[in-house]
Amino acid sequence: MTATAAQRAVPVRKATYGRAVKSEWIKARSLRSTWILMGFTLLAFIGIPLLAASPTDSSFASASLLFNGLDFAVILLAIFSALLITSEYTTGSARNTFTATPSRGAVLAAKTTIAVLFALVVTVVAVGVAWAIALPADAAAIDLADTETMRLFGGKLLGLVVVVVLSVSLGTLLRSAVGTIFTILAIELIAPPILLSVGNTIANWVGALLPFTLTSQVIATDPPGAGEVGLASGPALLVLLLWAIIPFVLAVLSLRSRDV
Amino acid sequence: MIEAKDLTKRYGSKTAVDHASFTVQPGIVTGFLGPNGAGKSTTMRMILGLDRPTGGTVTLGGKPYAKLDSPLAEIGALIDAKGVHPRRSARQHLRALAATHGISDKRVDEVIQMTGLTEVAKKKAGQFSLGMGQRLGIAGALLADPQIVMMDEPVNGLDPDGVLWVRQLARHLASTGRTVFLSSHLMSEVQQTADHVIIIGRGRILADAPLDEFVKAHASGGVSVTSPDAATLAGLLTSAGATVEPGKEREILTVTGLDALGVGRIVRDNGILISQLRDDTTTLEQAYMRLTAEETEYKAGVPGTAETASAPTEEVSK
Repeated sequence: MTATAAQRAVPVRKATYGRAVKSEWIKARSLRSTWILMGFTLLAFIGIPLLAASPTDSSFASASLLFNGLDFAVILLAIFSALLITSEYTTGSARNTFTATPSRGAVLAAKTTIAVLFALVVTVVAVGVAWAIALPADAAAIDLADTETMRLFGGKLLGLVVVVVLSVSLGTLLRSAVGTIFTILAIELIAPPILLSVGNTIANWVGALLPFTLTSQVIATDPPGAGEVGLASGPALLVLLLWAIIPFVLAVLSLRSRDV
Repeated sequence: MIEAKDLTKRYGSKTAVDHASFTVQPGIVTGFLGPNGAGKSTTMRMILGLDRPTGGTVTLGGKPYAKLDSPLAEIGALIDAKGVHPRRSARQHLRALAATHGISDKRVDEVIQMTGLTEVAKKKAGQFSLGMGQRLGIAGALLADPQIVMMDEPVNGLDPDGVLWVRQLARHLASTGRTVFLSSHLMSEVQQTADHVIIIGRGRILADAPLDEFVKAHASGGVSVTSPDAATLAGLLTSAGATVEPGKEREILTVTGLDALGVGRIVRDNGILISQLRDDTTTLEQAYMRLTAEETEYKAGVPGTAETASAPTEEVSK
């Protein structure tokens, strides 16, 4: 039935993951809301270190200052990530997306790729700009050869990627941008300070296993002391990755079993 | 070619599509008819792999949708004109679709021109009228030059020019050997466009036949005769063994059991004055109404008796 490529008047190729990424890139950049969110993310990253402007005494402390905007920026990037999938359901364009690329896994992987790329590129650019213009004059120089500084960069970026993957996956499972953003806000900003400060060991452990706190445990060079709540860097890294992997797998399974 | 075998979709206890089996052939236009909620859209969504069948299978050129390498080249579908992000331009929407199949921007501009959207291609899809949205949906369906074109209510919201354009497009696609499958609730539209009809009611396929055959099979087979002396003529026809129903106007009789020639003979032999004598021509709409009326009568009888039978039991149980 199907004409071969040579006979076809309109040449077509296979609908692969790679082409789905290209399609998602066109979709993301053709919406003004993408660029507005990215603009605010840049502002948060550059503006917050500028306002903080406290003197620092180490490369690590100066680098930490550059990431002060991340707590706010991560929420904006989570909104962007969740909208990549939830807007498909609210506008009905999901029908076009899933007929063009029938593999549910390929579509979700493509959306996740775009979310991660946007988050990483914006963060790297923003941190670079902040480094150049937003560090206070009396801050210590940032030394990229310093191990602790590099752990900070790596850990912060990884923590961001995990939240972005979590947002796309939650958006897929909940099919609601509001629900997804509220959940992300709760686990990133609201729950950690509460759970870590109450006098209950179970609550403290739950708090320690949230992505936000896991990220600092991954960055820390010294493991927590005896009786202290928290994980050493290696196990913390593993649990942090599970925050991305488990929701992503659940999201793919949900896409495969539910009707569009 | 679309082949459905025992295709079934249940939502909880509600059966939307009930063991539907049919084949949509290439080279002709097939109309898919049925009242709202009959299961047309659910069937189309299962064809596209958007809804998973509860039972049965549906294949396109022998493969289920999920197994197609380049699905847009096998089947182009318009199932919802609103399936576009309202803040994305028409051209970017089509470019994103094209990118999934490595289709060039040149082809994107070609379908834009083909569907008459050139002037509005850079406008946001949310600002489109229903008719323009429909054209954009059709542009998406034609993008990869598919073997099968499937459209759900394609003339919805189109102006008369647009309706004519869709009709010609469907005929043209069929003439090039493609499979064309259109759903509609507009019988006159289907009658002018389709070669074959598949009729669905309450999720079941009620008829699957060439248009002419279907209309003939459900034709009244009656003769209409108009006479100022209708009462006398009715008596004569009845005694000749025909069944006579008075028409809406007193002078018009609808006769079954005798053909036009037989009625004419009685008219001549008895010297009755008539002003008109013709075979009743049946339209698709009349044939469809007759078929669905039969279905409803059949269906309505059963629950009615069940209700009366169960009512006293409920009283007792209270």
